[in-house]
Amino acid sequence: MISRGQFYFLTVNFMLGTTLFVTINNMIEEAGPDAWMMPLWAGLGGMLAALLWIALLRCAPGRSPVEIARDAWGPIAGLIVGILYLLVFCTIAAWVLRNLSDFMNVTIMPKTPPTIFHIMFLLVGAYAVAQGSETVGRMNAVITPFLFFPFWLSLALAAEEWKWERLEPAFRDPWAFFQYPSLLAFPFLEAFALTMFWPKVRPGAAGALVSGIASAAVSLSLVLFMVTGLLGPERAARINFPIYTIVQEVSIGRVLVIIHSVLTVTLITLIFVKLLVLLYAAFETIDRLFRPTVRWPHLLALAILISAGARTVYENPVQNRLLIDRYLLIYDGFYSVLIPALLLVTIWIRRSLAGRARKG
Amino acid sequence: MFRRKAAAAVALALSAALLSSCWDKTELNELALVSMIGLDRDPESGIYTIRLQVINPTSGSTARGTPGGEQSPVYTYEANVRTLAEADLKFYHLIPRKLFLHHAKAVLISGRAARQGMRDFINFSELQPSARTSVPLFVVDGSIGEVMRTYTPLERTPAESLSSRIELLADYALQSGRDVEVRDVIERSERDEWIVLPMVAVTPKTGNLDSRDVDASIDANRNQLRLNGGAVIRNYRMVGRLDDNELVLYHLLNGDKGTFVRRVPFRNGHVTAVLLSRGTKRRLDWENGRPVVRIRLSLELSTLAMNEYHPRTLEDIRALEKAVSESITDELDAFLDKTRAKGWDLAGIRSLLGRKAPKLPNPDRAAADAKIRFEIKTLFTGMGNLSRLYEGSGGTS
Repeated sequence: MISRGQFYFLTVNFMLGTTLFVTINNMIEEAGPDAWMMPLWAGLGGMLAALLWIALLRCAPGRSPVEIARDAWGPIAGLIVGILYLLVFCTIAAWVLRNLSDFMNVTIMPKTPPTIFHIMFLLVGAYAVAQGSETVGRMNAVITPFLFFPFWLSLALAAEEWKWERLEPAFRDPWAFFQYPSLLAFPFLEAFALTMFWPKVRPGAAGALVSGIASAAVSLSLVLFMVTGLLGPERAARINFPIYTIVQEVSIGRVLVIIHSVLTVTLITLIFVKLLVLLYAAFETIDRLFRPTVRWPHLLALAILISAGARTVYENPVQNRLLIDRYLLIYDGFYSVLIPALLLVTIWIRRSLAGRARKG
Repeated sequence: MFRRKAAAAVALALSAALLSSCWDKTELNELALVSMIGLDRDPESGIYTIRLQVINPTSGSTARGTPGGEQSPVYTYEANVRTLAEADLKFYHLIPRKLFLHHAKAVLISGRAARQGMRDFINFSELQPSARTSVPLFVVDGSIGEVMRTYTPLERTPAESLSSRIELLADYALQSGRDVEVRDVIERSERDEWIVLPMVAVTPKTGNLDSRDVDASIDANRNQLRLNGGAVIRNYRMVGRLDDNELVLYHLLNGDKGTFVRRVPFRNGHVTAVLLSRGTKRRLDWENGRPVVRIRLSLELSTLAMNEYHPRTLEDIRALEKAVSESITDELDAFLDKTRAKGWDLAGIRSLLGRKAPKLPNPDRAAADAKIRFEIKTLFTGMGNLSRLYEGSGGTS
């Protein structure tokens, strides 16, 4: 069992994972100086989605969504839904890995083959996942302070460059989020993967999940606020990894000029946490669907599948952006809103029918 | 149990390979540390000339006669290319080490390239993840080739000498400011604001210039680099110049903080005032549909260099403060009249309107029409080491 606090930190770190360097510039391009408002709207949407998941999970305590689907729709439809979820978790894991290797290749390790990043992360991740949810939860709780402090410290060191002018004209476009709703899908709807942890969390996990999503939304908003104030919306909208650039331009005195490796380590660790959650979700799905007696063979198979997926999920960063902008909301909405909502409706109908039968 | 241990050992061993990053390892002694970058483009042929000044690692600050002491502290490499990307390749015909741009301390652009427009250079630089744009940008007055081949006394590399000088000029002369870096040019140009960059020129040369002989000469005004006025940039293009005196007024308007000296008319004569600028605040008001910008400046006055006069009473102090405020207001008014007549918006009025009144139908027109009022507050805060000046008759004032 993992504690509510561990689940909370897992939620926050999962959300921040790749978001910190994939969509920051998109958001600033869409909303200019008001970009910091977008994650707040998206977080609100994410919290509503989380309430839906919680309502579903509360119908069957101790069961994961995969089992709930089997209970509600029968073994065959349940298996199909389970396999769909397995594929979704693998796809997102592959996506996350590819974002990671893109970042590393563009910034500090241009020559290292991307597959090396993928395989290494997967092997270490698989090792942690094989140990079970307690290991994942505890490991994440232990490393969180080592991510939190260096990240905010390195951004704070840049504060010298702060200009309020860059945030003006303010409040001109507070509704910009609604023209760019894919932010809701990425990262907030992806948090559905966390529901696979649900049966392993001590009672009262609902608060941890919802407040985790809220904290992540506020953190993202704060990051965007700082990026806009430090880089200005003109540059931040164009630079691929604005946070990295901010820290790259920080110099402490005349000697310490290159401190961005600190930030890089923080970011890749956050991504590692996201990968861990997704890998765990995929592993747990297999476990719940087929009840295998061994752990490693299918974990290695997953690693091979995901590392292959990471090479093929998109061809280049432009495609990545188009995928997120055009399709991600539909894709994520299908598995994290539509299916859970249908499941919930089925359960309610069955229960009311059963209630009537009992009365009759 | 054994299998688990073996699996853990394999995972750990493999992650060690990830940590050491075998493909991207960089050894310090395999790098060419670039300290200064020189950019030029011939407007007629369109050929780019890129010069890199690379630090010579074997030359320390050693005395003559020791190994490496006679070597040049920096080497200047030059490449003539049709596209900027070719420069990298061309340099490897000459440089035996991997180029490392992170530590560059100064970027220089020739006057002709700056007049033509520097956007292409800047786009190229921002595309490279390895290049930082938080580096001061200088516009070269005269031949950039000569500037890149000139030593500077005292500092080991010319780039350090230049970057240190702009800091000193900002702190003690207000002839430079914080916003003179490549990233500031990008931001200001993208916001349609004006920016002034420091200009650098070569001082008269004597003797054998290409050798370290210049070190032996005592006359440090010759054979070196000199910061000389400012280049006015708009939209990535140099459109004019400011002299050293106008630079002070520009940086004062720009809100830069630093000390400067002014001769101020006072009671039938002049006094020398040491002033510390504490920054500006702008306010936008409207009078009959016409924008009025109030620029509030706060100055701290010191009599540290005032060898003509020493205030004794509160009235003296108020009078002195008033004289300073009035004199600076006059100077700023004259400076703005002159530059606005040329169509330069050095006070950033257009951008202020864009920020405070984003719905204005014709902001350019409004900015040109805007009235600018200065509200200067001078406060006497510091004095030198005399509470009364010596009054013998052997002076000039």
